[in-house]
Amino acid sequence: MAPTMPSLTPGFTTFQRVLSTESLDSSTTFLVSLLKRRQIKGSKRCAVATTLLLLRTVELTKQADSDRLIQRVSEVGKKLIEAAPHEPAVGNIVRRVLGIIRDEDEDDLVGTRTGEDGSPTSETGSDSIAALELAQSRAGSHSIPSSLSTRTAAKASPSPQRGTTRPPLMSSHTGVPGGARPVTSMFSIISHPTMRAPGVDSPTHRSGTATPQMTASGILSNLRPEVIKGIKEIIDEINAADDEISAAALEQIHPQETIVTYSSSLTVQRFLLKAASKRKFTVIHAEAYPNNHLKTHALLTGTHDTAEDEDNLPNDSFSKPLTSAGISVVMIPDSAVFAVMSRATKVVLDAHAVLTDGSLVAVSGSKAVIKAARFHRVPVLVVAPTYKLSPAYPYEPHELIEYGDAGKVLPFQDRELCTGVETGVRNPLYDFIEAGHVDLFVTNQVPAVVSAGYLYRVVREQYHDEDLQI
Amino acid sequence: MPPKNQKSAGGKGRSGDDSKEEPLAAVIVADSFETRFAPFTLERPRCLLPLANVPLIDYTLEYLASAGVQLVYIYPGAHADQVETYLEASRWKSSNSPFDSLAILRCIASSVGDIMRDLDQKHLIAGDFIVVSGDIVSNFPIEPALRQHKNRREKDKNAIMTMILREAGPGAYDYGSGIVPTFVLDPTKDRCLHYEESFPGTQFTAHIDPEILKSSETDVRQDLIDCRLDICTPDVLSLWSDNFDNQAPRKDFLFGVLKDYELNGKTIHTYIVQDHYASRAADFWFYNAISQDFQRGLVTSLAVENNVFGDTHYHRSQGGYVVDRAVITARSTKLGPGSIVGPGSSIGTRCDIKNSVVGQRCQIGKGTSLDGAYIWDDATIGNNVKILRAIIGNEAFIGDGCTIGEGALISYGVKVAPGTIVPAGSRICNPQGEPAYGPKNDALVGGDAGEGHAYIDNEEDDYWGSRASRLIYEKPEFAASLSTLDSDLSEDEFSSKGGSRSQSFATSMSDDDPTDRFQHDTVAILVQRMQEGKQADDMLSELMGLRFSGGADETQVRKAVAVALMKHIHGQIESGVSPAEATRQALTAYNTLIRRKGADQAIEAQVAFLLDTQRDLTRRREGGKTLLFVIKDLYDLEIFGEEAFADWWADERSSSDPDLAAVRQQSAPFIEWLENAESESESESGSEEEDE
Repeated sequence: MAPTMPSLTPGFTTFQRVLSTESLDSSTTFLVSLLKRRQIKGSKRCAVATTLLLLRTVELTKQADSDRLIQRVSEVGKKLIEAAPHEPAVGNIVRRVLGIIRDEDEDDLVGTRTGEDGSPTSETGSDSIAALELAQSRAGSHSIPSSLSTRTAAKASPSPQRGTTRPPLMSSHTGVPGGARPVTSMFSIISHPTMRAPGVDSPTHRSGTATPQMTASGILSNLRPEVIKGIKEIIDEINAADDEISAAALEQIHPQETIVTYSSSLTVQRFLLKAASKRKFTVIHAEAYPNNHLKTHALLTGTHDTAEDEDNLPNDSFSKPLTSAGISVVMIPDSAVFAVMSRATKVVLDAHAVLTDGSLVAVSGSKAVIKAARFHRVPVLVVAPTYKLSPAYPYEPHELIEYGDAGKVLPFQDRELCTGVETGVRNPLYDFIEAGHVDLFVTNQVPAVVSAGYLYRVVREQYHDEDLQI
Repeated sequence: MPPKNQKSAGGKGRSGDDSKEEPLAAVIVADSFETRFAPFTLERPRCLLPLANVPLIDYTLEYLASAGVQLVYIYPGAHADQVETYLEASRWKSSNSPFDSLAILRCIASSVGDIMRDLDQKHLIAGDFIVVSGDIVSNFPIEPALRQHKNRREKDKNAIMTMILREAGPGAYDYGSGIVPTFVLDPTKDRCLHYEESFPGTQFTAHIDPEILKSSETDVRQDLIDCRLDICTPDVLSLWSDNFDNQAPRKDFLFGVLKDYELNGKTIHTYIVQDHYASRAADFWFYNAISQDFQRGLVTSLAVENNVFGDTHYHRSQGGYVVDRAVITARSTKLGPGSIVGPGSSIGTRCDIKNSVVGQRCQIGKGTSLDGAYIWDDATIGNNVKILRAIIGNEAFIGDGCTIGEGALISYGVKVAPGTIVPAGSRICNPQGEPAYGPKNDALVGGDAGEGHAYIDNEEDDYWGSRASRLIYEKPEFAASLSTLDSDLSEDEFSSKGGSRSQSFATSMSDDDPTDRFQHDTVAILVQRMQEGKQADDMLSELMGLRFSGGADETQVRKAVAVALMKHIHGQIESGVSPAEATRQALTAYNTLIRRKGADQAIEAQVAFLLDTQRDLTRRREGGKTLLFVIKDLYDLEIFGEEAFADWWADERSSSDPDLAAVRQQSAPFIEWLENAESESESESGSEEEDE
C-alpha cells in the first residue's frame, strides 16, 4: 500500500509539479481528475491542493480587479467542488479565498475613501453622511466580533458593512443629478481632485469594474499582492493548525485521566503529545478496522512507513509515538469500545468535516464511539482545524459519506457471499454524526475551544455570506 | 514557505527515478480478435461498447492516466476509423490530456501477434512498457508491480515480462462463457511456469513438463482473473517477431515462451493483485459482472457517481440508484437499487426499473419494466414493455407492449414492432451493410408478429444466426435457474467452442470454414508440412501442440486432419499426380496422423472421420473419385476396419445432402464389393485399383 519510492503515480507531488509548469487550465483539469480518482484525499491535503491552485489562479489572472478575481476563483472553485462533493474542505478553502478577495477589496476601498475623504471633508451632501454612517457601522461591527476574535475582525466586518453601505450608494447614484458624467469624472478625480462632484466618486470607486483601466494605477496594483499574501497565510494556517490546536491540550486534559481515541489522526496525536509534555494520563486507542487499522498501528508503534503516502506534507512525516512521551497506551479492537468506555473520562476524536449545526463527518466507527460515550456520559471533544469547518447544512447527510474499497469488508475472493445481495457490500469511509452529540470543539481559531452551541458563530466568521452558495 | 520546501523535497525525491528517465509508455491493443460481443461488434468496435454508459476504452485510458503513463499507443484493430474519431474528440486528445502523447497506430492485423510484430518493426519503444487490452476496468496501483518488475530485471535480464493477475474467488470462471486460464506458478519467485487454457465445466488436463514439477513449490491456479495487463521489456517484442506464427498473447505466446524456457531461458513473472479492482470485460458474462459492480458502487475510485469521465453529474441516492442531474423521471416511476440512468434520458410514469443501466438520451415510455437490462444510448422504449436481462443497442426502437426475453441482444438501430415477444437468447441485428454471415433463421425473428408488420417500416429484421459465439450473455448466479439454462446450452456448447475464437473481421482465407480458427490454422500448418515432406512423427507432435494451445477437442483435430489430408491429396492431383498415386502416397506417409495415439479408435470415430472427409470432398473437384481412392487406401493399409466402412455407408448422415450423395456415389461399387468380398481378397483389390 505504501510506495516508498517516489512514484509515477499522480499524486500530490505530481500536482505540484504540474502546477508550476502547466497552464492554469490543465492544472485545474489535473487536480479535478486527481480529486475524482481519489488520488488526493483527506481534508488536509485537499485543502492544501485547493489553496495552491487558487493561489496560482490569482497569480495568473489578468486584469486583477476584484470582480474578475472573484469570478475566476469561483469558476475554478466550482469545478473543484463538483469534483469532490465528499471533501467539504475544498469548498471551505474556496470560500476562504473568495473572502480574502472581498476583504482586500473592501480594505482598498476604505483606504482610498478615507485617503480622499481626508482633504475634502468640507464637502457636503449625501456622501459625507454616508461616509459617516459607514465609519460608524464599521466601528460597530468591529466591536462585536473583536470580543470573540481579534484576528478575523477585519474579515468579519465587511459583510455587515456592505449591507449598510449599499443604500447610500444607490441613493447617491440616482439622487444626484451630477451623476450624468460618470466616466469622465474619473479623469477629473486624478487631474483635478478638488473639482470632484460629490456623490459620484463613491459609486465609481466601489464598482471598480466600470473603469478598471483607470483604477488599475492606484488600487488594483496592490489588490493582487494582498490577496496572494492572504492565500499564503491560509497555507501557513493549515500547516500550523495542528500545533495551534494542541495549544489547548493542557487545559483539556488533566492528570490521571483516561482518554479514549479512535483511528489514526495526526491532529489528535499531536494534541495528546502536547498534553503528555506536562501530564500523566492513559490513552485507550481503538484501531478502526478495516480502513485505518494499519495506519493506527503504525502511529502507535512509531513505524511511520504509511505516512509516506501522505506525500510529505510538512510536519506530517515527523511524529513520535505517544509511548515515547511516557504515556501508557492501550490499543483495543473496535468491538471493545463500549466496554472500556465506562472507564474513560474523555473522548478525543478527529473529524473529516464539521458542519455549521455541530454535526460532523468522521472516520467510520466514530459514531459508535460517540454513542458509547453518550451512554456513559463521557464528554466528547472533537479537534477540527478551521479548514474543516464547513458552512454547509446537512440536508442529505448520505451524500457526504464516501465509500471505500468494499474488498476490505468482504474480500473479492469471497464474492460468492454477495450473490443475491441487492445493494451489494459497501465500505463507508465516514460516519455522519448528527448535531448535539459532541460537547466541545477545539479549533485553531482564536476562541480555541467552543461548545457545540456556539460553533455556528465560529463557522460564520470564517466565510462571507455571499460565498455560502457557490 | 513550507510549500516551497515541499517542492524541493519532492524534486529531490523524484531525482531517484530520474535514472529511468524515459516516460512510461503503454500500448493498448483495442481489438481482441474475438467475436465475443457479436452482434454488436459487427458495427462498432468492441472498445467503444458502453459499460455503465462509458465506452470501454475510456476505462483503460483512465487507468493508464491514473498510473502515470505518459505515452500511449493505440492499435484500434477493427473499425479503426470509429475509434479514431472517438478519440480525436475525447479529452484524451485535448490540450488538457493527462498523456504527453496519444498515438493511434494502424496496421493490418488479424491477431494480437500481428500487432506486436508491427510494433516491433516500428521501433517506437525503447524501455519497459505496458501492454494492455482495451477493455480493462481497474483501479489498483501499478507502482509496486512496476517496481518489482524493475528490481527483478536488474538482477536477471531474462525476466522479460510481468503479468498482472487479480485473485478472485474459486470458480470465478464457472459461469463465464470463455476459457479458463490456468497458471502454474512458482510462488517463491512469482514465476509463471506453465499456462493452459481450458473450458469451464470440462475436466482440466494439462501436460506439464516434469522438470517444472521439480521446483520446491508450485501453485496451479484457476482463480486468477487475467487482466491482460503486462509489463514488458522490448525483448518481448523481438520474441513475438521470432515466433511469427504466434497469434494470441496467452495461448500462443505465453505458452510458447514458457515451453521454450530450456531453449532461450526467458522467464515470465506474475504479480498477483489481492485488493482493489481489476477485471476485464472479456465477454458478456464479465460485462455483466463488471456492470453490476458499478451498479452497486463496488469499483470505488471509478464509481459512476464520482463522474470520473467527463462532465456528467451522476448522484447516488440513498435508495441505491445512480441518476444524472439531467434526467427526467415521472413521479410514479420506481427506480430500484442498482439502476444507473444517464444524462438526458426521460422515463415515463409507472415504470419499474431495477438493476438496469439506461444510457444517455434514452426515452422510456409509460409502465415499462426493466430488470437487469442494459439500454444503450439513444434507444427508445415504448409503453408497457418488459425487458429482462437483455441488451438493447444504441438507437434501437422497442415498440409498445413488447416483451424482450432474457439474454436477448438487440443491436444498433433495430426496430422491434409493437407487441412482439422476443424469445430469450435471441440476437437481432440490422442487416444493412453486413454480408449474410450465417444461415438466416426467420422463425426466430423478433419482428415477425403478425400485427407488427405494418408498423415496421425498416427492412425485415434478421436473425443473426451464426454459431460463432455464445448467445447467453449472462448465466444466472442462482443454482435454481442454472440447471434450466444449462440444458438449453448443452447442445450448443460443443460446436461453439472453436468458433468463439474466430476473428472479428473476415480474413482473406475463403477456402476454409472462416468460423473456425483452430481448424484453419491446423489445416494450413499440416498441409504446409506435408508439402515440405516432413515425417509424420514430427507432425504428430506439432499437432498435439496445436491441439492443446488451441484448446481443441478430439473432434476438431480429427476434422482438421481429414481436411488437411484431402487438401494435400487434392493439391497433388492438381499438380499432375494421378489420383491413385497421390492418395496412396499421402495415406502411406501420414496414416499415423489418423491413427495417432490418443485418438479415439472406436468405430464411431472412424465413421466420423469418413464423414468429415466426404464433406470436405464435396467442395473439391472430382471429389467422388478422390473419395473412392481414399476409402480404398484406408482399407488396404488397414487403417480402418470393414465395419467402419459399412457403418459409414449405412449412416444416413452420409447421404443426407444431395452433394454428399453425389460424392459418395462413385464409391458405391467398392462398398458393394467390400460387403461381398472375403477378407483374403486384398491383393485383388490392390490390382483392381491399379487398373483404374
